[in-house]
Order: sequence, then C-alpha cells, then structure tokens
Amino acid sequence: MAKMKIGGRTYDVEVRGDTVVVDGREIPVKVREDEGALIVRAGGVPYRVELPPEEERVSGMQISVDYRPFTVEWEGSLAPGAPTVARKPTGSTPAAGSAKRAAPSGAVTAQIAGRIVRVNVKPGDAVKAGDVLLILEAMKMENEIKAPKDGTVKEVLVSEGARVSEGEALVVIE
Amino acid sequence: MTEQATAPSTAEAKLQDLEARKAAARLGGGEKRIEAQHARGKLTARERIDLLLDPGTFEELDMLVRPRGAAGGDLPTEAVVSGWGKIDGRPVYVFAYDFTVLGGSLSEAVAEKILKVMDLAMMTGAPVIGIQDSGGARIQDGPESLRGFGEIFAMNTLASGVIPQISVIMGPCAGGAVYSPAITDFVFMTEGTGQMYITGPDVIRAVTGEEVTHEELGGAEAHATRSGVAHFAIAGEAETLAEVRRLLSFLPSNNAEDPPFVPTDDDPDRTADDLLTVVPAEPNRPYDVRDVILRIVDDGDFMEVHERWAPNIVVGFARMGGRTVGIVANQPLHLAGSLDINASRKAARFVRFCDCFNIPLVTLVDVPGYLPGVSQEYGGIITHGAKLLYAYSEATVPKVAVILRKAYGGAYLVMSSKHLRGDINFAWPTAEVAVMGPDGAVNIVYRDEIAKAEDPEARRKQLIEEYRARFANPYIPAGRGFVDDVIDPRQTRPKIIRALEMLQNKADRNPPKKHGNIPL
Repeated sequence: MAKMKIGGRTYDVEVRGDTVVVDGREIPVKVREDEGALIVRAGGVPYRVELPPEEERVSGMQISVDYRPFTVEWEGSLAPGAPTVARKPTGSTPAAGSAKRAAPSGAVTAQIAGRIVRVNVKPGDAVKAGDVLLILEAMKMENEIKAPKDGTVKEVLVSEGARVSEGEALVVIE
Repeated sequence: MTEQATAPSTAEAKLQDLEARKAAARLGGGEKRIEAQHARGKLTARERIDLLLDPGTFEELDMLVRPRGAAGGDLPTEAVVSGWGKIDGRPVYVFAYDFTVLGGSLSEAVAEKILKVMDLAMMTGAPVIGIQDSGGARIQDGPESLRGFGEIFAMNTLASGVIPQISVIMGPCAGGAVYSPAITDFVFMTEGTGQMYITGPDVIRAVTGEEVTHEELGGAEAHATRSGVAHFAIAGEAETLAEVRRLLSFLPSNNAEDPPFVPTDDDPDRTADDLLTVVPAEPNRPYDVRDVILRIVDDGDFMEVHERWAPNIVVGFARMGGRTVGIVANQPLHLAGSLDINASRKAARFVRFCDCFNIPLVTLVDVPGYLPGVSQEYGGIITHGAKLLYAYSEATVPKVAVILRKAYGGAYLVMSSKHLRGDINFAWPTAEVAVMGPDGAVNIVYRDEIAKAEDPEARRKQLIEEYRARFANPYIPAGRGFVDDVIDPRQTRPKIIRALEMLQNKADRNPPKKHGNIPL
C-alpha cells in the first residue's frame, strides 16, 4: 500500500496484478506501448501516459497524462512485497515538465515513428548544429535527423534497422 | 498634476497651460518610470509608436484623458497611448499600452480609448495595431475594467475579416488580456520581454505544483514553437516593429480593397532552370520547399508566417507579378511533409485570412498523407484536418496549385484540389496522384496474389514497379481534367502568374447564410 499524491490530493494506492486499488476502489488496468508513450486503459477508458526514463521514475517525477503534466509523489510500496521506492532528495524537482518529453537532457528524439536506415555518428564524435546524425525512414521519406547544437556525441541509442517510436531518444549530445 | 486654482487669463498663458498639460501627459508615469522601462530593455509606448509609423505622422487622441478611479491619483494621463498615423503612406490606427502609467493596467477609460480608435478604424477601413505591455485589468476599478476587456473582445470580433488586426506583445499580457490578441489576425512577440499566459507561474505552482519560469511558460520561444499562439517571434523591439511594417506592405487596408500592387523588375516570364534539381526525383528524398518558393516569387521576397510552429507546412506572403499571394506548401523536410493536427490548424487559419482580404492562394503540393498515430487520432485529427478542407472549399479568392511530387489520398484532396473549388491546378512531370503510395496500394490490392506467389517478396516488388509505372505519374489525373496542365518545372513562375492574371476578376459566391459552421 502506498500513499500517492497527485495534483494536490492524496490517494491510497495498491497494485494487484492487472487491478489497481485506489481508495478501496478496484480498477482494472491494461497497458500497452504506443509511439514512445503508454496507452493505459483504466476502467475501460484509454489515457495516453508519458513517463520519464526508468532511472528517473522516483517520487516527485513528472508524468504527462493526455498531454497534461502532473507531478507524482508517493510514500510506501505500490505492490505487496515490492521494495519501497526511495524518496528523491528535495530541491531538485524537474523543471517544467509541461510539454517536454521524458528523454535524457541533450537527447535528440524522433519526431515521427519509423525505421533507422543509417547512423552517421558514434560516441565521441564531434558534431556541429545541422549535421545529419541519422536517417529515419518514415512516411516513405528518408528524413534527416540533424544535430540541434554543436557538441560531442555521448551516446547512440539506436542501430540501423531499428524501429523507433515518436518521441524516442536516438542520440545524446553533450 | 493638480487643477490650477485660477484659470490663466491671457491667450499666451492659456497656450503655456496647454503645453504644460501635454508635456506632463507625454511623460506618462514620469521620468523615473521611463528610466525603469528602459532599464528592462523596453521602449516607452510613444517611442514604439514613433518607430512603427512613418516619421511625423502620428496624431494622438485622448492624450488628456485621466484616470477616474482612486488608483490614478493625480496622474496627468491614462495607461494607453492611441491615435492614427501612416505606414508606407497608408493610414493605420494604433494603440500602445503605457507600462509607466499604473503598469499599463486596463481601466474603464483605457478601454474607451482603445474602442474609440477601433471604431474609427472600422468606419474608415484601416488596419489596427495594438502594442501590449500591461499588467492586466486595473483591480481597483473592479467590474468596470472587466467590462472594458469584454467590449474590446467584442469589437475585435466584429472587426475580424473587415480590417487587418495586428497584436504586438512587448511586455506582459496575462489573464483575460491575452484574448484580444488571440482574436486578432497576427501576433508578434518580442523575444525576452513579450510574455503571454492565462495563468502565471505562481498560480500554476499553487495549483499543480509545477515549477516554471515566466519565459518558459509564456515567452516568445514558447509561443512561436510550442503553442503556435505567436506568428512571429523577433529579437529586438525596433526589429519587431519593422516586421509589422513589412507584413502590412502585403495586405490591403480592408476587406473591400485589393492588396497593394508593388511594381517589380523581376520579369513575370522569368524561368528558373534549377527548379529541375531542387526537388529530388526520388520520392523518398527530402528537400526544403522554401527553395522552390524563393525561386518563383518576385525578387525572392517571402515573409514566412509561423516559421517554427508546425514546420511540416510552410505558409506566408509573397508577390507574383507585383501582386500579393498567400503561399501554402507542404514541407518534406519535416515529418516527411505529412499533414498533422497543427499543420492543418496553421494552414486553415492562413487560408481563411487570405480569403477575408482578397489575397489569391498559391499552393505547392508534395504530401504523402495525414500523419498516422494514436496521438493524432486522440488529439482529434479528424476535426482539425477538416478545418483545412473547409477553409479551401469555402475560399472564393483565386486558387492556383502546383503538384510538385506526391499527392496521395485525402491529403491530395485537401491541398487546393479542383474538387474543393480550386481554379487552376498544374502538375510537374514528377507528380504522383493516387489514392495511396505504391507500396501500400500493392499490399492491399494484390494481397492474395502476393501470398500465393512462389516468391512473394519478388512478386511484391514486381507489382510495386508495375503500379508505379501505371499510376505514379500525373497523366491519369490530367486525362480526367483533375490537373489542368502538366508543366515544365522551369516554367512554374510564368505559368502561375498567367493563371493569376486570368483569375484577377474572378467573382465567386458562397450561398447566403449567417455564417458557416467550420469544425472548430
């Protein structure tokens, strides 16, 4: 059982398999992935939910539900037996999730779902704003994904042939 | 300034008194507040008006109107400067909130001043430019200032489609105040100082717990890239006002006029040889459609609207043969040029503006379709996409389109097709008009045949090639008259200009009605 605070209200929440119990009310929940987001059917109603990357899923995280941002805080454990989630140190609330996607900072994301047909960079490469990092094939078009700023490639998160969803992080530039 | 106890007696003394009153009014909230305004990197209302208008043409109205409520104290003037003047020799009306006077707050008297110039603008058929720099409604004036906002919104609505209305955001514009600019035709924001939001960062923090700065929430960047509220985001106040003048150069003064004719040395019959190479022959290669636009318009002069919002469609003003045109073009550089919710909203509003003000539409088509995705469907692409269909169908101005490459399915129809009352449609020899692209079509039409084939993949490839050879060209639609002519790309400029000349006296009407019901 966990106490979860969203939008100024506190709820008692417990996860039991495909059912989430909120303040004693049992709600059947189904989740699937779609274009970098989760489509969560709760009580038969679909919601589009975006979560931060796994390592940032701690109390105080920002999520987006049907494009509206929410801050989620909790104490205790969500599922029976699951380890209690550590509280995030205070004073580091992520700035303005608003419309920003939950991708690591400096990440270049896919604006459209498709397939990576070419990767032009590797970690350590110096890039200039406007350099073509990857080619993303979508809508029968070889879309050029360009570096938004000068920097160094820290990480390449996809390989040639990979299918990517809208909003998915592709390359991290520092 | 307090009323003088004894009235001046001689004519000279009366003149001195008048000059003293006007000098005090011209100082607005006083020298200290003017200094503070400058320290924030902002000009005063009068300095802005001087930069906007032709030199020496400003005629001020209601300079001596003074605050009525208790908040005004003995201030010599109100929190807005208003009047008329000229831009490029043509009359315009202007009002500019004066932040040095009670934070530019809107009182009953401020609203009356604004309504007065708007009323004159509508009666005389000239554009209104509103410069926003205001803390919002004057709280001390209570419901009187609320009424003021309401009456301005109603006047903005009545003026919509009659005279061009332009808003310039050069300071705060928050709460209900944002809805006046929202109704107007174009919103300019100065980067760094212009801010618009319904509820500010403090309220958001209190209600949802989100931390966000004023600039992140409502700055020029936010509205020019994320919300689409701002049509133009420009660094520097002088630069912003220069762009306002440039925009007006393309527009008529009212809905009964044609846009101004601007003679040009750019030959209407000029051909552009490199149009053969700007658009790649391979349908899967992106390019910047603005490279096509710049080669066909007069002097390569194109004023792009909403440059950074919904970049998968490009809209803006240019001239062809000296006459203003509104250009709408799919942009293969972004999202493969597909239409999504924002692109549909952006283009629909632009098409309707052009139709209001007698500006012919030139549409450049290279569109693979509507953007697929759950988020688009849940976001209401059906309703939003219909806006663009509605706008093109409803428009009675001359409509000329050129299909450069792809024109598939519903997206072919929406982009100024003949079937939506388009006037003249050209196609380049590279054009492909079909219900869908070859790959998708073959997978559906020949599903069984491919499945039964010995080598399904080879058969599929062969069928795609056959389909491409048969359908992926402009000659089937040209054979039906859906395309009026297939043209040499190098001839695009002269062909469009001649079609526009032919259509210059086009008189088309929609059925009489109160107004249509566009899917908002």
